[in-house]
Amino acid sequence: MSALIRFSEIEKSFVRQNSGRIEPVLRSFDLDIEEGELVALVGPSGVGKTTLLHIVAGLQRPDSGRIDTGPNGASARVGMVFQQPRLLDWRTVRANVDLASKAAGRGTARTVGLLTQIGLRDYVDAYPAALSGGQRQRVAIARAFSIEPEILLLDEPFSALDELTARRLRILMQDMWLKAPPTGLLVTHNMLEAAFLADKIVVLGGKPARTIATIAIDLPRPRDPEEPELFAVHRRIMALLSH
Amino acid sequence: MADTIQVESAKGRHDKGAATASALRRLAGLWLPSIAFCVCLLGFWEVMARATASPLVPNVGEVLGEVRRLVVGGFAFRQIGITLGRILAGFSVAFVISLGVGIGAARSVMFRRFCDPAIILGLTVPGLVWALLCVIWFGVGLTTPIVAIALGIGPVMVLHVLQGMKAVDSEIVEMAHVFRLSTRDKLIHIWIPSLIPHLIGGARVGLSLGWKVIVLVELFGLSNGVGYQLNSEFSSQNVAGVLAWTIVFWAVMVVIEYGVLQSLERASSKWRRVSEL
Repeated sequence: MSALIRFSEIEKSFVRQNSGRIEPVLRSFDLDIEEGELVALVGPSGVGKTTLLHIVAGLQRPDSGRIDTGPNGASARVGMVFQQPRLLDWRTVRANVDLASKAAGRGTARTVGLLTQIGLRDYVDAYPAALSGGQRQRVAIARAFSIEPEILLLDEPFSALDELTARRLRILMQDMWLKAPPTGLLVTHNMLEAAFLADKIVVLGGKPARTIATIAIDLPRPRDPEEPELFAVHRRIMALLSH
Repeated sequence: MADTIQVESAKGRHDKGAATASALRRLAGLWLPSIAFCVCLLGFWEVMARATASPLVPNVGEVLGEVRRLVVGGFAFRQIGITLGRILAGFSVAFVISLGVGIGAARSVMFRRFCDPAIILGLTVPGLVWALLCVIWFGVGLTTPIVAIALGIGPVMVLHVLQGMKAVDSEIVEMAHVFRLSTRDKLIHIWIPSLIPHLIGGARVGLSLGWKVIVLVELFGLSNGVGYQLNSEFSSQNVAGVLAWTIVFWAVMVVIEYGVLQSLERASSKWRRVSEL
């Protein structure tokens, strides 16, 4: 299979606000993500994980280098789940999802089914302010899947939730993913989450960032969050990052 | 959900009389403070009028008699209609222009810097000056009130629009970018909803400032409207008449505030969670 997301020779620097010093974050960074594959990026804070995600999303531009997003290029359908739900609080749950799916040309026929599947059938016409944090994030997940994404970007999607809610939503994410697997990139600080969801974990480190290790997770799906192999992966990544 | 059901059943236990009583209490809470203010004002005025015992300070009865004279037969309402029409015309022009300028200034720093001196100039120049200049330049047509009001309230409304634009959540804008919302969708579903509370605030200030400008325009250059009537009462040294016109216009503004602006505000904020504190 060919790569659907390909970073090649990506360079990105930031100018420090207080000192004016230029700090390279990414230099000659390469990474291929196969079609239908979910890659997790892990590593210390500030290593450039979110920058990579934002480059795919078109929210940041690399200083140089290329980012390819498959045969449809820039018009590939990209769904994203952020750390915060980022819903329009003044629109109903249904309208929030409809807005994204209509913009992607997918129509609104699937919205209610999707919200039912995600456990929010009773809240279709509610405003997001009436929902709990976990429910709001469910809406954000429904919105991302409503466009039938070719590429799905997950920016620490469960890190603002309590552990029990986060675990439920990870399982939900796995179910949704398995129905029609998009190509995905997950940024997380939670190694267990990375091991549970991803096909491949890319461990980043250093400044500018380089790939310290690539760990393939060859466990069959659906996975169980209690599988001992996941904890083994967790220990391995922690060992790599503690050096 | 469980909480909601409990609340409903607690409500169910009340009998009809108690429900009426609580509705009355709610209404009283809504209106009593404002009524109390009006009573205080009337009392204070009456005391002052009796203490000074001067023809320059007419008592409450005289002023109310004057109000009745103006209102019966609808003369006051025709004049207020004329004045309100002028305010609304000038306000509409100012609204459209300040929306455009405000959005432009929020999106482009250069344009913002270009506009800054104009805004400060506009905030500095008294409405009186705009009124005089417009009467001199445009004469007694409809142009004069519209231009004078637009100049008088435009700068303040631009500031409100700018503030509203700053209030648009950049995280939501990013979300809209990733999900490729069209410009039209962004406008309808993100920009305008974020702007609306600030536009209502701008409208409130704009309407009240517009009133202060139009009165001067009517006084200097026009032959009808509340400003003209105020001036003619002043010329005939009828203090009660001046007060009566002010009171009648105040009443109309109260109706606009409660009837229009606050309803708009409620309609645009029904999604907000109400804190129980």
